[in-house]
Amino acid sequence: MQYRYEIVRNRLYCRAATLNLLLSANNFRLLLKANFHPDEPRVPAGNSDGGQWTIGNGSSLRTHPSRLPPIRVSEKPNDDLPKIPKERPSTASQRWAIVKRLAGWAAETALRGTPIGRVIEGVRVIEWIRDYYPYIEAYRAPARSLEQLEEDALTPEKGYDIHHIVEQTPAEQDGFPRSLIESGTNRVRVPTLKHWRITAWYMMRNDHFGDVSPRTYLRGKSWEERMRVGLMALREAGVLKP
Amino acid sequence: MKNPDLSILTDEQLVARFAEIGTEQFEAEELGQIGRFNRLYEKKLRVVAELKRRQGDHRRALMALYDHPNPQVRLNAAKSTLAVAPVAARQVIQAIADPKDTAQALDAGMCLWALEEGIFKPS
Repeated sequence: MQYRYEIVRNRLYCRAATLNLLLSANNFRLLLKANFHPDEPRVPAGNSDGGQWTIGNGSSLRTHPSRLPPIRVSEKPNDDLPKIPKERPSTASQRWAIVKRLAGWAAETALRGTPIGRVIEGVRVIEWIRDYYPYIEAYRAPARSLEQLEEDALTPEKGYDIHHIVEQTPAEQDGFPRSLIESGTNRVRVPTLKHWRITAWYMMRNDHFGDVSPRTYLRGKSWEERMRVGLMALREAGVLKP
Repeated sequence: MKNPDLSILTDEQLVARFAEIGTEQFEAEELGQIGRFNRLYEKKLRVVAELKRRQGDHRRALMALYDHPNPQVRLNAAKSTLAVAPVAARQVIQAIADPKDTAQALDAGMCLWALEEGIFKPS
């Protein structure tokens, strides 16, 4: 991988002025495919920040050195490239907010069909963000069929989470059996960042469910109704093919 | 100011307050601060209720935010005006929903679905 990067880098340097660097979409994908194994613990469900990553016992993403090159971005922010601070933000929520912005930007850029890379000035190295490449890459994955998502759930992968279409804890509290909650038709593998987004959405009050959160709205409802909402949420999150 | 007297504010001031709330909600969502997001939701409801209470229903004033740069503000404005400007509001919600790559897109898409299903009946 290092060798491939050197080739890519040299090729890019030939194209750009002394300190300019052009990263093509394909090159960016190579960088994103870094095989990191971040082991930050997650805040347990039920807490206000449930599902978010935390420093926990002091073990951090930085404890896993990478053999891959760091992402390089401009000292000066590009017109729409999210700003990535050189220093690793001190809290997990700050870091993930940046990662989410970057993932959204990368996905949007890909949707437009234009290269992710761009001519940039004043190359500098962002060490901390590379730990999050698998999550950014997963976020950009195209929507899949329900059958594919169910099948994917059998194969865990970095950057992805197992998502219960019908939320597990409220379902259990409403008396649905664990066997149903954990059945293959309720478990799908989705990009971690989208899993968090959907989970957050379930907790947010909104107008269309009578000013309560979807989670509250669904209390006491049938399995089928919960599944209907859950599938729509997957679709609207861009995870499930329409 | 915890619970300001909204009745003394002009429509323009209420619209500005509404936009501030949406901007804060956007930040809360990004940081995963759901409790904060929901507390802001309550504040948003109060602003909308005040506009609705005014003679002739002044919620249309929120249509000025359809072009706001913040997508959460746009979404809030569109959802809050569905009862008074259904066609224009739906267009704004649809435009937010289409990319499917933001938190606001998810909520916007689910809003349209809830409207179609009759779960959401704006009043």
